[in-house]
Amino acid sequence: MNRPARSFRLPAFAALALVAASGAAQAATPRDALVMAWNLDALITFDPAQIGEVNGNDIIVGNVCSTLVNYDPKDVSHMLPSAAESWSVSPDGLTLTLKLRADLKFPDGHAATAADAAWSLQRVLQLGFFGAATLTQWGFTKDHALEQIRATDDHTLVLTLDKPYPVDLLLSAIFAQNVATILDRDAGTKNAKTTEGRSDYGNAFFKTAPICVGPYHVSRWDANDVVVLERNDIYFGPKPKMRRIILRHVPESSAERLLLEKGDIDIARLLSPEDLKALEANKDIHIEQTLMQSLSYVAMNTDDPILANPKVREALRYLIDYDGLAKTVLQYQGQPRASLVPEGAFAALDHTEGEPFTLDLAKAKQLITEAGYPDGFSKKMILSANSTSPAIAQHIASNAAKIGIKIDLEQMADSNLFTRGRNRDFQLQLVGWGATYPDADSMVSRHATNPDKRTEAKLTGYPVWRTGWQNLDINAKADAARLERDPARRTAIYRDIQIFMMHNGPIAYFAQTIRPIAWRTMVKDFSVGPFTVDYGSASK
Amino acid sequence: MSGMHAWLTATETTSKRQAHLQTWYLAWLRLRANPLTLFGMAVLAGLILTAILAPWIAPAGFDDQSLTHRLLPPSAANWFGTDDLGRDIFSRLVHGARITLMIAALVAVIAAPIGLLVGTAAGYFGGWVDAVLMRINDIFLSFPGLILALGFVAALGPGIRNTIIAIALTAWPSIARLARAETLTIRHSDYIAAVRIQGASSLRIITRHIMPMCLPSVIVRITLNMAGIILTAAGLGFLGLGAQPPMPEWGAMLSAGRSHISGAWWLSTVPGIAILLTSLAFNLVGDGLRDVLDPRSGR
Repeated sequence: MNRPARSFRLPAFAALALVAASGAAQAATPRDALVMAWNLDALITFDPAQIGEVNGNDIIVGNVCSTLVNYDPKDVSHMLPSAAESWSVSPDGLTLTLKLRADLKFPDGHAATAADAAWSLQRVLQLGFFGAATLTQWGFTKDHALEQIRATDDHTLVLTLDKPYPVDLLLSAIFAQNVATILDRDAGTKNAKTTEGRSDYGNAFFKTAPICVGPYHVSRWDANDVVVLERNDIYFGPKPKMRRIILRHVPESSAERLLLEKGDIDIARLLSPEDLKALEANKDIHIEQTLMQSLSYVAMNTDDPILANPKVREALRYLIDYDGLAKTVLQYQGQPRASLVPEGAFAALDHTEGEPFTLDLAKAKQLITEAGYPDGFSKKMILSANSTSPAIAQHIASNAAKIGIKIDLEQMADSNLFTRGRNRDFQLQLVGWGATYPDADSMVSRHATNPDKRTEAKLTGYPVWRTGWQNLDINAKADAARLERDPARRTAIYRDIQIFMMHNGPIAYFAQTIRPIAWRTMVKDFSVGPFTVDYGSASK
Repeated sequence: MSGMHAWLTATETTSKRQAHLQTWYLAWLRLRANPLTLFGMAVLAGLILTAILAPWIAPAGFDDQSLTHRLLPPSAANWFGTDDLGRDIFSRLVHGARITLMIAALVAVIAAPIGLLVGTAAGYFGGWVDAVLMRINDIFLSFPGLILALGFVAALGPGIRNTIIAIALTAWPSIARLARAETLTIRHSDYIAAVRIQGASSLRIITRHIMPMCLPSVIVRITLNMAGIILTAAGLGFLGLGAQPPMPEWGAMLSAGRSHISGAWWLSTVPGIAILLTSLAFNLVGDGLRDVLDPRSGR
């Protein structure tokens, strides 16, 4: 799977020691503070222009730094106003205007304006961190940042586009993301460091304490120990009920489980399926399962003459027990999904239509016979040695063996697995991929569109290029959908693409990721979405 | 029976055959006197039988999956429970005995001759041959076995064949050391000098007159090493670099059970006990063999 390797479990006595240290008494958490345990060791920066890992994103986006617009927590393909109260687009579709609220204030009380918002977006391009791609893939460039992103008055942000993209797509792909937050321009320029003539736009300063418009601010961060957020009383939105959010670094599932059972924490973010199963019977604890926008799949390299046959590829889709895996090996971790667009995204096929396959050995046998391989063949599958990958791969290989297809498995470290994928050096590869925004475009533009199928093109960021597969008709359809401003027509094109890819494409998707979070039942209204977790919504 | 015993323990032998058989019989008597060695031999014998008869002993195939029967605790139907893909752990364990024994046997077959040859050559020739061979030997000895095997497997690619090659590469140096030391003590013996005067070549002297003298201690050494070899193989399997799934290698089985340890202890415990018992058995047998084969010890 495309996620960091899970560290080895420490023996249970480490957890016991933690509990013993916290005292025998039932230490309840403070009434006005939310205490969360998570593995925080990946946390390296709080600068919204720089954050790329899951912890930083979770803590900052929407909690410390409000985004200009928000995903509707009930339907992430629908956008809601946030720091921007309204938006409009010019008739030619090339100018997007965002109206910011008049009551935006930084934690110290001074007003935040469209100039701050424009500066915050421009610095993302200037700094050129990983997140800059969020803007550059929509035609924004470092050289033209000042003309493309402008503040025309205190509350108006005007963006010039290179193509007339649909507004909802832009809102979802840019303005609900970490890059579209409002940092304090004055503090940033005053504290900017210049090295070799290049300004860091306050990156070193904001790294530990971003000054943002948002419901909370970072009041303390001790690496690998604790992060504390304090409420901003002048926040523009509904006043958060919790005065303080405390995130404790607890990198062990069993330790988190014990802390949660004892009431030393309110919320546990890192629980293994084993521990979740054990907690299920506990009536003081609620387990929330959020459907994420990521998929697990088997990529089939069509450079291989046998896998180049679409019938062989379709046969492989009938070798997976989608429901069986979801109920057992992937319990608390995934649900069946065969379409390349994850459920919940704009234009995604619904649950039933997006998962038409079942384990059907007779059908698979018939397909490989039609393809001209009645006696089967031999293929190699590469996979991660971590998490559920080995069990899933063995499941597929065992079913394949029943119709004469021999699949040899080769486990490896994740870094090796990804390198082999990017080098197109595999026959079958078991991995995962996460969409960056909940719109069919996010997946289709990488998993269906292949601008250049040649090996030397090195389009390693496109999983579909890694499989050597290309369909010019799909390319054209995907490009048209990206610029189609009528939502109904857009949905229709993506529907065609999804159905075609499901039967002919080079990638067999089998599961959509679920993220489980467990909390004590006294925590109420905690709103958890696939991209943002709204700490301010919680009460207890 | 008693007549047989008397014949085998007679102080005066009448034939070469009787003398040979007496040596073996006395060795057996000494082995038998040590209950721990007997225990070890019984375990190994059981293991070898299990490995040979695996398809008949195991109630199911090692990769017979059933998602509806996963993580079942030990019961009459599944003696050691089932794993996360619903496979019978007892059946996997029985088939896994083949892999473990095959690794151990092949490593012994590869490493012992190499070690013996290098050690005796170094000891017999001395001088620069000794210096070169022993410094190469030192390089191999200066790494912990598992780390070196890890390095080789990483370079060669995972899999059972490469595991065997990697472990053999880490196992020969200690044997070479031992063979060299033995050779040094006998190379100036009169019988060697006599053979040399008769015009025997170096190759003939080493293979026919020196190697047989080193053999007992090498056998003891390799038996004692066997435990380490099995642990290294299990370690590589545990790290996902040894036998690839769905092969029921014990180390890999233990590793796969890791994520279920709190809810389904039998997944890791059962192969763990198998590894422990096998390594222990090899150690006990090795100890017993040393007492018997080493003329300087005991008696």
